[in-house]
Order: sequence, then C-alpha cells, then structure tokens
Amino acid sequence: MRLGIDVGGTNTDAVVVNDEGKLFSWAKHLTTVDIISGIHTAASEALSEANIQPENITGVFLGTTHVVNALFHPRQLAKTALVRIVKRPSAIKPGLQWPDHLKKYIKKIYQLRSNNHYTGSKNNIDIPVVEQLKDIIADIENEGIQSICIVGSFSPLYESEEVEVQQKIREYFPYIPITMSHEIGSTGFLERENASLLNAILSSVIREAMVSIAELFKQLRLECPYWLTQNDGSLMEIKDAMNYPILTIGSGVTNSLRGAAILSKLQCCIVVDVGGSTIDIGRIINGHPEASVGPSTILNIPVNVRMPRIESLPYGGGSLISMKDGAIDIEDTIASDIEHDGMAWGGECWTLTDSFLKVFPESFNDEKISMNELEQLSAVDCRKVISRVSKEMKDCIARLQLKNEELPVVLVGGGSPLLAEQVFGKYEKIYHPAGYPICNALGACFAPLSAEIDKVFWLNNKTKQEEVAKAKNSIIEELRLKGATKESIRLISVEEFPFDYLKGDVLRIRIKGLGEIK
Amino acid sequence: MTWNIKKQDIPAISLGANLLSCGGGGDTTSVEALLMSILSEEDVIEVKTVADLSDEWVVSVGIMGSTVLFNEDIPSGDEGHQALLTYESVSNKKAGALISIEIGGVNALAPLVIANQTKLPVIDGDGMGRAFPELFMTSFHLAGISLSPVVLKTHDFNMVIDENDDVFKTTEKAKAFTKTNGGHSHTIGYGSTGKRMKTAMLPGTLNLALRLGKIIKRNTDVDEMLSHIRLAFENSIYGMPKVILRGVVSDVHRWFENEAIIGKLEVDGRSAFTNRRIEVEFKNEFISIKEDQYICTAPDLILLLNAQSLIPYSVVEVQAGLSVVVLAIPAPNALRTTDMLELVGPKTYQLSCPYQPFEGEG
Repeated sequence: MRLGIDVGGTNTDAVVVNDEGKLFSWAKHLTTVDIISGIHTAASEALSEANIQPENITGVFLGTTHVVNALFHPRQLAKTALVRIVKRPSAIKPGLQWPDHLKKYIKKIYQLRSNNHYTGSKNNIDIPVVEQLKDIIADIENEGIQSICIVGSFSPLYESEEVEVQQKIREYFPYIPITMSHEIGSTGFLERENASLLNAILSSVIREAMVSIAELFKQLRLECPYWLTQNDGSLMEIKDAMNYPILTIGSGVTNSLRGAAILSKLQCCIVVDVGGSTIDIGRIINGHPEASVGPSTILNIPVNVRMPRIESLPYGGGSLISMKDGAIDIEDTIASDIEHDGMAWGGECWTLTDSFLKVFPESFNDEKISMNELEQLSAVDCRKVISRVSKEMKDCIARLQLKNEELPVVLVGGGSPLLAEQVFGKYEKIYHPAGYPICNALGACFAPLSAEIDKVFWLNNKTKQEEVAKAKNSIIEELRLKGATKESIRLISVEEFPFDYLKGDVLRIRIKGLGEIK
Repeated sequence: MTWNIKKQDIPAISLGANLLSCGGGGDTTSVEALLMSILSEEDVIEVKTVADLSDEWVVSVGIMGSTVLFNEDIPSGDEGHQALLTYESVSNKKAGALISIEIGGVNALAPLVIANQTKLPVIDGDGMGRAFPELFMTSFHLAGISLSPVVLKTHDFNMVIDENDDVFKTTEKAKAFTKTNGGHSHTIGYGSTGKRMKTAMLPGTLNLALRLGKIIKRNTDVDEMLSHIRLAFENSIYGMPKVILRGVVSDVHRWFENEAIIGKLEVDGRSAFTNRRIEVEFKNEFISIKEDQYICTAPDLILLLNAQSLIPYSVVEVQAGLSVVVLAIPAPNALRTTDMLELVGPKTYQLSCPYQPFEGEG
C-alpha cells in the first residue's frame, strides 16, 4: 500500500492506494503554515479511514509547492555567497532579472580566476583557484553567510575547479550547504548561475522541511522509504531533495498530470487542471508527463533546469472579473477564499466561478451556494467570460494536439466541474474522473525513479558511440542503486546536441532513464 | 534626427534583434545582461540616423564565433573597448561613431556596450539587415568598404589583420584565430567615413528592432501584435510581413557540417491552416520555406515565432511539438541586387532554385 501526499498552496491532500492504483481512502485539509500539522492531520485521517496500519505502507510519496511558495513569500531563505570561477572578472551582475525580495539574499560576490581553457588544457601560470579563497573563508563567518553557490565557466565540461573550491570551503565549514553549478544545469553560464543561486537560497527551507517531515513520519510509525517528486515527475530521495531543492519546484503540476492519466487509464492524453489561480494544460505521452524543451523560467528568471511542459492560462476559478470600458476583464488578482468571497457564497467578489454558475447553475454541487446572490450579474456578461475562457482553453488544447490523432482531454482540479459538461461539446472525447480533486496526491504515488545525464564531453581519442555507451551504463547503474528493478529500467531519451562552430569534437549528451521501485 | 537609447530600451532591442536574426545571429543573453549591468538609469546612448552622418570615422562592431562558448565564457565587459583602442592605434583613425555589423542577434547590442563606455554615438543601421553567417556577407563589403584593418580580441589575445587581402581571406584568418583562441572574439573593422557609410549601410534597422521588441514585450493578443508588427515594417526598408502558416513543428532534423548547424523541419498547419504542411530548411538561419515548391528563400527573412508570445525561436532551440507562427518578410532591396545575391542568395546555401523575390502581404 502506498501513501500519497500533496501539499498545495490551499489544501493538503492524502490518499491511500494499492500498487495497482485502487483508491482506498482520501483526506483533504487546509495547508498549515508549517505544512507539518496539515500533513499530520490529512495523513492520519487517510490511514484511519482506509483502516491500514502504518507498517503496511510500503512507501510515502510527497509532492509539495512548499519550496516554490518560499520564493513567492520569502521565509527561511539563506543568505548566499556567489563564487564565480571565470577567465576574467565580469561586469555582469548576478540576479539581474530577479525580484528585489529574492535578490537581497545574494549577499556577496567573488570572482576567482579560472585556469581552465575550454579545450581542457590547464593554464599553469596563474594562481590555483583554491589559493584565491582567503577572503571568502573569512567573510563566511563575519558576514553570516548561510549558503554557498559555486559557478564555474565550462563546468559542464570540467567540474574540477568547482569541486576543488567546494572541498576547500568544506575543510573550514563542514556543514554549510554548497551548491555546485555543474550538478544543477548544463551550458549557458547565466541561466545556470540563476538556477544554482535559487537552489542555494532555498537550501535552508528545504532542509528544515525535510527534517520535520522525517520526524513526523517517525511519529506516525511510517518506517518505509519516502520520496519527494521532482519537476520531471520522477522520484527523489529525501537526502537528494535536501541538496537540490530547485528540482522540486514544478512537481505539483506534474503530479496532477500523472494522476489524471491514472484516473482516466489513458496512456496519451491532454490534461486540463483547473485551479484557483491558473488553468494548467499539459500532455501525457506514453504514460509520462512531458518536460519542457528549450529555455524555461522560474518567477520569470531564466534557468536551465528542465520544468514540466505546461501551457498556463493566467486565471482560474477564483479570478476576479470586472468591466472595463464596457468589455469584460479577467483580472490578475484572485479571491483569497472563494467560499467566503465569491458571490454565489454570499460574498462581494465577482469571480470566474460565479460567471459559470450564473449560466450553468447545475455545474457545482455545493449546498452553500445560493443562486439568488447571482441575480445582480448580467447573464450576457457572464456568457462573455465563459466564451473567452473556452476559446483560449480550446486554442491551447488545439496547439497540443498531435498531428495524426486527436488526443482525449482529461479535466481535473477543484474547478473542473465548471467546465466538464458545458464548455466541451458531447462529440469530443472528454474525461472527468471522479477522483478529480485528489489527482496530485494520487499521481505522486506512481512517479517513477529517474536518472539523467546532461553533460558536455570532449571527444579526444574516444568515439561518440563510446561516450554515449558509457553514459547509458552509468544511468542504468544509478537507477539500480536507487532501487529500480532491473526489468523496469528503460532509457526514454538519448539526445545529442552538436556544439556549433567546433566541428563535432565536443558533444553535449542528454540521456534520461526511468525505472520502477520494487 | 538623432534619438536616444536608455536602459529600459535594452530588453526590447535585444528581443527585436532576435526577431530579425531569422533563427541565427547569436544569442543575446550575455550582452543584454552586460548592458543591464553597466547602464545606469540616467545613461543615454546617442543614436545617429543616416541623415546625421557626415565626416566622422565610422567603425563596425561585432562579436564572432560560437554562441555556446560565448554564453559559457562570460565577457569581462571591456573586450570591445580594448579592441576599439587597438583599432584606433593601428589604423591611426579616431572613431567618431559605431555601427553594428549585423542587426540580427547579439551584434545589434555589441556597439551599445562600447558606446556607453566611450560616449560615442551609434548609428541606426547595420550591414546585414538580418543575420548572415559570414563576416563578408555585408552591404559594407558590397559598397567597397574594406573589412581590414580588423581587430579581434579574446579574453587572452589580440589579433590585427591589416593586409590588402581580399575580404574572403581576411574572414578566413579571423575565423581561424577565433577558433584557436577560445572560440569567440570581439571584432572591430569595416572603417569608413560617415558619408560613404550613408549609402553602404542598411538604414533604420536599430530603430526597427526597438519597435518590434516593444510590440512583443507588450504581450497582447497575437493578432493585435501581428498587426502592429505589420505597421512597424510598413515604415521600413523591408517589405510587408506575411503569415505563411500557423501550426506545430514536427520532425526536426539537425546536424553539424562544415562549422554550420544544418537541417530541416516540418510545420503542420492548425486551425485555419489545417491540411497544410510546409518544410523549413536551415543553415545557421532559416533559409527556405517549401510547400511543393519553394515559397520563400534567403535573403528574404524567415521567422519561426512562438504561437502565443511571438518570441522567436532559434535554429538551435526549435523542437518538435512547439506551436509556431511562420512569418516571411521581403528583404530590403539592397540585399536583392545581383551582386548581393551572389553572396547571400539561394546558391550560397546550396538551394536548388533560382532566387524568386518573396512578395509579402499585398
């Protein structure tokens, strides 16, 4: 039996399912500020409702927006020192596109001279990087630095200088979190620096959360392995999550996509997750959520870590509606609690949900709703809201459709009943599975193990095939170590990127493998 | 009529330059970040238009080499200025204004860095009107302006090529130096008097990049942005842009040959374009659109834009599954002359068709 937990911005959900995906119980609770008490309540309730003893749970699977929320509403962020290892000190400032409330955590910047040539040859005239660290060592203590971020030019090819600097700092500060950029992203210095810095400033929040969660699970007598889901929808051990919080940031949506696929029993589909503030639309291909291609962003900050491939409409069930110059406007702001502020619930705010309820009163089953409150709204205006939302959503779905076949659409998320019957005609293949409110927690339970290599190789005397074969083997080995069964391991993508200008002597290889836990 | 560039214009110029790059031209990330770091809110970069040019010595500025290596090996910020100082001492000419070699991509921004450091004006124009892969593929060269003396500056080394070689030999030397010294270099060359530059350059392209960037940054409805883009081109040396297809990219084939990224992809039409399919070929830039026959080829501009945001895709990042708008724009007439077509026409890209000027939107 598996216990799945999803800690969202509003609700914490817990589900108990067996290995075949049969749902035994589910519980929903408001997310608490410390997240722990919310998890405690939801998990205990789900376990007791299913009448399952904790020792029968073989794995706990956790998805959370806790880390990404810490970026929106800063708390427990770490004061970070950035150590660049570059050819020449650069006038480019770090954290350029960052919002001020995050930028202030980049406390110190050091630029060490790299001795690495891009071909891998060493320049022996200059001072070795480890001998350039005196100021840093002194400052860490004096300035109250809580986290270190090391970013070296060409570190995706040669990680040695980053590792040397990390080891030297470790000699003085054995416990300070250190992020090395070559473990976070591939080529593109500034995007990798952004991702690594975000990772570094999140190192405290994730550590504290993981320690508390470990204690909580012990209290609940859950002695099985537990896992966190990451951006690409695969599992990460808690000890890895502590070092790479940046990789957990997009896991909420990915879990929801996977949950929708499980609930609808579809291998390929388009999933529409209707939430309070956004409508997220993504695709499941061969049972797996798709990851983004090309550049991605976190809070509009360009990063080179892979995020789920999602198209988001910037509004959801709680978005406020207003009239501007006779035209309807869906605002950026949302009602803080729709069951309090929404008109249908007797509140003052005209929300997207109210617009749907005015036109389709039957779509939401909630005894607290009163249609009388909606008399003040014009049905014509509400229809305009609906037609805009449906058009934009259908356009988005059309863009995601494959060329050969029309994929079915699965609707999930708290706001999905609004759309299920009305917006989509009967002729289309629409699924609205009964478990729509808890598909995140369910999806987390069936996330696979994954291993990925995204590295640049200098081919010296080896052939491309040799390097690719070596990389494939190390992926398989890593999955075995993580506990994947031998038969379940498969390489899902092997991509080669030519390095422009350099006649193929250099090769970037990205290989990803998946496996299932025993 | 001179005009000014301020810090807040930089992201828009960068985006507009990426749009005009036709999928090539070099990533603007590092130099945009550099400009955003060194410009203060009060800094003003003066821009001279074609009408303002007279006797000043104009030099062309660019960055050449590998984009991947350049974006990994971040600049100190001083390379271009150092290259200019070397140029001035070798050529015995004092630079009076700077012009971009290539408006498409990173080279639109390269002169702005030096302009801010030296307070020299930049000129509203360039030598390509888009992006091309080689240093000699410029209207400057065609107008008889010599590429040499040309200065190349990397993190560690300098090179001056000041011989009466032809432009092709100079280009080869510059490339060879760049390749063996870090893979990218800052370049100053194509010096000329303002008077001569007037007729040699493609005018107004910097301003066009700024206007295009601003339109896309506003991020309004796609059709609204497209109609604003049409308006921007209406007042330019280019023809009128035309949407060839809206659809989804499939079957991307990309490989590496003779130091160029070569390949092709297909775009399957969606909504109004259902049942249509085009093939787009690329060689560092998008070079042709085929639907049974060639519809459009270089030097006319071919752009693949994100279907929602109209942010351009490069030939390196375009992937199967992306939703795109394929836009084609008639090139400025200066790129369509017989002589220029010898350098940048279909034949240069080994396309098996004669050049057929793309008509654009009626």
